Parts: sequence; C-alpha cells; structure tokens
Amino acid sequence: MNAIQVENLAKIFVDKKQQREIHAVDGITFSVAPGEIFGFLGPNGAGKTTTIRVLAGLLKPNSGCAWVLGHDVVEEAGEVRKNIGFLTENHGNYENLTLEQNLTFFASFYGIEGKESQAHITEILEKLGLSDRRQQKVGKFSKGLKQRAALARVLIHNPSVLFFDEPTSGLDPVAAVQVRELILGLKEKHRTIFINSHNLEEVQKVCDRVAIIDAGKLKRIGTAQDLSKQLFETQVVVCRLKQVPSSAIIAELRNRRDIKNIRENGPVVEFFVDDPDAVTPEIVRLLVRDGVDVIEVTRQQHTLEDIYLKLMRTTTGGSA
Amino acid sequence: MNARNLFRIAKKDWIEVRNNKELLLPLLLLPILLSVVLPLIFALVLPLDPGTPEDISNLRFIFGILDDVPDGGVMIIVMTNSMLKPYLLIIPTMVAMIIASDSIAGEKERKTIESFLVLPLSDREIFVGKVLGALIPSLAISWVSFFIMGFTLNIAGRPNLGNHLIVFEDASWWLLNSVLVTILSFMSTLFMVLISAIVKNVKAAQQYSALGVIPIIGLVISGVSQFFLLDVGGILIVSGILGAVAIALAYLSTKRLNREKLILALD
Repeated sequence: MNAIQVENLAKIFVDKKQQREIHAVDGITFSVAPGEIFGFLGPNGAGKTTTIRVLAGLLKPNSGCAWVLGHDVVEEAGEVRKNIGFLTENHGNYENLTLEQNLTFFASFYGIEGKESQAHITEILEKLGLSDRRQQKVGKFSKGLKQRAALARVLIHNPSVLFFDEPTSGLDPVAAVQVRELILGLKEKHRTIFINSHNLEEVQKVCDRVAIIDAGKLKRIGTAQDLSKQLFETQVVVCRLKQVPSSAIIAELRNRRDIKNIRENGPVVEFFVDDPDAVTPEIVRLLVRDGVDVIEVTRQQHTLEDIYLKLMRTTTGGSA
Repeated sequence: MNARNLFRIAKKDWIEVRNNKELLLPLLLLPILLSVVLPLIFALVLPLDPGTPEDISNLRFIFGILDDVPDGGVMIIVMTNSMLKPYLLIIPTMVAMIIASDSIAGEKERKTIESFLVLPLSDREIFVGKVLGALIPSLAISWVSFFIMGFTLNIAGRPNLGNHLIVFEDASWWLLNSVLVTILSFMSTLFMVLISAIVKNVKAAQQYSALGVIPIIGLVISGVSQFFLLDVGGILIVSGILGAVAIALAYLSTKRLNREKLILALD
C-alpha cells in the first residue's frame, strides 16, 4: 500500500469578484511510497499548497480521490489528521505560550497526556536540541529555533506521514542545513515525507522523487535522473585530459553516431551523448589509443534547477 | 463531541489571553471601572444632593423604595437600578467580544490557524471549543464584577442605606446575572466568533464589537428616562429577545463555520 495515493484530484475555487473558476488543482495523479521523501515543486500559485491542504483533510476536492495511509482524505479526514504531521509554511506554534505549553497542548489531542506527554516532550526536545528552551515562550525564539520547535510539534505524536510546506523558507543557511539534516534523519526512521518547496537545491538534496506542478497540472514526476533523461536529449560526459587531443581523434569521435556533439576547451572536452553508460568506455579507449592521458571522466548531471527551468520554459513558451 | 477537547481549546485560548497584556488590560480595566469606580461615585457623591422632598417622594413611589431608606440612599438605589444595571451588561458583552475576536481572527493573524485546524478535531469541536474559550472567562469576570459592585455599593453607601442590602436583596439583580448575563455572553461570543471567522485580523474583528454596545446604550437611556426598566419583567423580555438572536447565531455558525471556510479566508 502506498503511503499517499492521489487519483485525478481536482480542486476548483470560485473567484466571486471576477466571477470565474480557478482550477487550483486540475486532475493530478501520483503516489508516494512508504519511507519515501517526495518533493512537490512548482511556481507560486501552481497548486502545491492546495494539494497539501487537500491531503491533510483541510480542503475537500471537487473531484478525484486521495488516500493517506489508506484513509480517504474526505470520508476519513479525522483518521488522516490523526496519522499525519503538518509543518506549515509559518512555524504555527503559539508565540504567547512556552514551548512546553505548545507541545502539551498539541500532544493532548493525540491522547498523549500526563507523564507520557512529559516523557515524549523530553525525548523530542533532546533530539532536536531544544531542552534548554522548554520553559521559554516561542515568541522569543529565532526563526531557526521556531522552525525546530515546529518540527517538535509535528513529531510529537510519531506520525508516519509528514507534510512539510516550505520547511526552510526564510531560514538562514545554517538553520536551513539543520532542518535539512533533521528531514534526512526522519527518512532513516522510515517516515514518509511530502515536501512542498521552491527551493530546488534543497529538494535535490533530500528528495527521492519529485513531481513538478504548474497551473494545477502535473508536468513531470520521477527521480532527478529520470527527469533529466526525459527532458534533455543528450547527456554530457566531461573528459579532463593531460594533453590537448589531436584534431584527427576529435574528427574520428565526431563521426560516431552515438556522439551528438563535442565541445573542446583545451584539455577539457565535453561529449554530448545519448547513452553515457555505453559510449563513455569507448571514448576513453579511443583517446588512450591516440596516446592521450585521461586524468578524469565525469558525467555532468542536469540539476533539478536545469530540469525545472526547462519545464517552465516549455510551459510558458520560453519566457521563464 | 469530546468534552475534554473542548476544554483543552478553551484553556489554551485563556492562557493566550492571560499572556497577552494588550488583551488583558482592557479585560481588567473595564470591570474595575464598572464594578468599583462607578459604584463608588454613586455611593459617595449622589447622597450629597438627594433632590427636593417632592422628587424623593416620587422616586420612592416609582421604584418602590421603602420609607426606612434614608433620603440620601434613594438616589443611590434609583441610579443603581436605572444606570448600573445596563452598564453592568457591558462587561459580559465586551469581555466576550474581546476574547472571541482574538480566538479565530487571532489564530489567523498569528498564522497558527493551519496547525490548529490540522488537529484531529471535528468542525463542531473547534467551534464549540472556541465559544467556550470566550464564554467561560466572560461569565466568570461578569459574576465576580457583580459581587464586587454589590459589596462596593453596600459598603460605601452604608450610612445612607439604613438596614437594607441593595442589589443582593433584589431578585431582579440575581435574574439579570443568572439569565441575561449568560445569554448576552453567549450571544456576544457567537457573534464575534462568526465575525472573526470571516475577517482576516483581530483589529477588523474588534471594529464590529462596537455594534454590541449599541443596544446596551439604548437600555441605559431607556432606564434613565424610565421608558424601559430592567426589572424582572424587563429582564425576561430582553432575555427572550437576545436568546432568540443567540439561537439564530448558533444555527448560522453551525452552517457557516467549517475548516474549508476558515482556510479559504486566509488566502
């Protein structure tokens, strides 16, 4: 059973002022496996937050279905909410309450009370390095601490599925790295994590798979490598050589069908190929045969940013 | 509906209010003004000029004040019954509105509403919990204010009241506090929870609270002009009308308030 299953999900809002319908989510289908970290990417207004709100049982879809841990998000919204943790874009803790008061309040709705609650809070604060902040009002925390306090709230009832909406938004680089490490730590505990973000670097670092959504429609879904293969005709193999290769060997390589293009930059040569696994050994063999010393061969990966920008350019007709 | 969940929400809302000086100050100042300062002025200043013997005689007749009450005490009783009674109603109205305006609108303003709504609670538990969070403190403060006001009047007005205990020996005051104050608190809370669910911030919600004071000013004016007095009959009539309004508001709230509407009001 998938941790999250979404089928033809659609959510329409009515703009009463302009008397028009807004298709915030427009028939999307995807699934997230248990223990997977899934990134949900898209520009502002793409439908990311609406999707996460539907999955958390906060909004009802107009059509389609979604299940979290096998529970229908409409019919069994209460069960869904019992089993998920939802880290909102803003930290979501009560600033006039101490960290302990916040956690005690939230834990109580999951049946965690009294000594059990105190033990849970102690354990989670130790893990997140917040023990010394227990009796302080959350309003006095820095942004990074507030986000960690929010994580403590989200994890207090040990949910198996976590929704993070822009988890590092507005954090300084150090705090962002800390949050990222915490997310990776959760993966080790086999938690399923659904991350809404426009921080492509962050998503690339932590997510197993990504889905890219725009104007309510799902554009692509897969691993960064899959998407790179789908979107880019060629992959780049970079060879750093000891000597500048002869024009004869470059000409021979250019004549090969499996090499689409070659870009020379002195002793660094870039080969644009369809199937790097098949052609890389051949390139190296030919270079060595020609007496060229090969220092390093690397495969230039298309970053998630390249993938995202390419998709958005395609969608917006090159304006992105 | 889980009763413990309701009280958890109410308790959290009260702790938030208690920790917020901007909210706590008006919640303390208003009852002090109406239950201590105003009764002290009535008890100490009014006997200084009790009016002509003819006026006093008329007032004794209209308000049914016994002959053994000294002349100086007649004006205290008259003004207490015609002005302080409706003034005291400002306490449940304003306290309920101040707290209720902060409950949902405050959660929106401070961006905690989403993390609150994702809790495993039913829509009805959220609504009733929020109502209780304003209703309980409003009733508690109103009752404490009533007793403080009664004691202040009786202690400060002692030399002019003979053997009588004003306020406490009058059934209409007990009826006012047990019935009208409860209904008024409930109605004010429902009204403000509804408003705070629609608007985006506390300030916008509080602007509507002025609406709640208008009928009370009407009661003060009608009491002073003796057009409509809050005696037992008057209290029952006003309670009946406000009770009907409260029922309509409760019905409207159950129809209008749900997670989706609260979330959509954020965007």
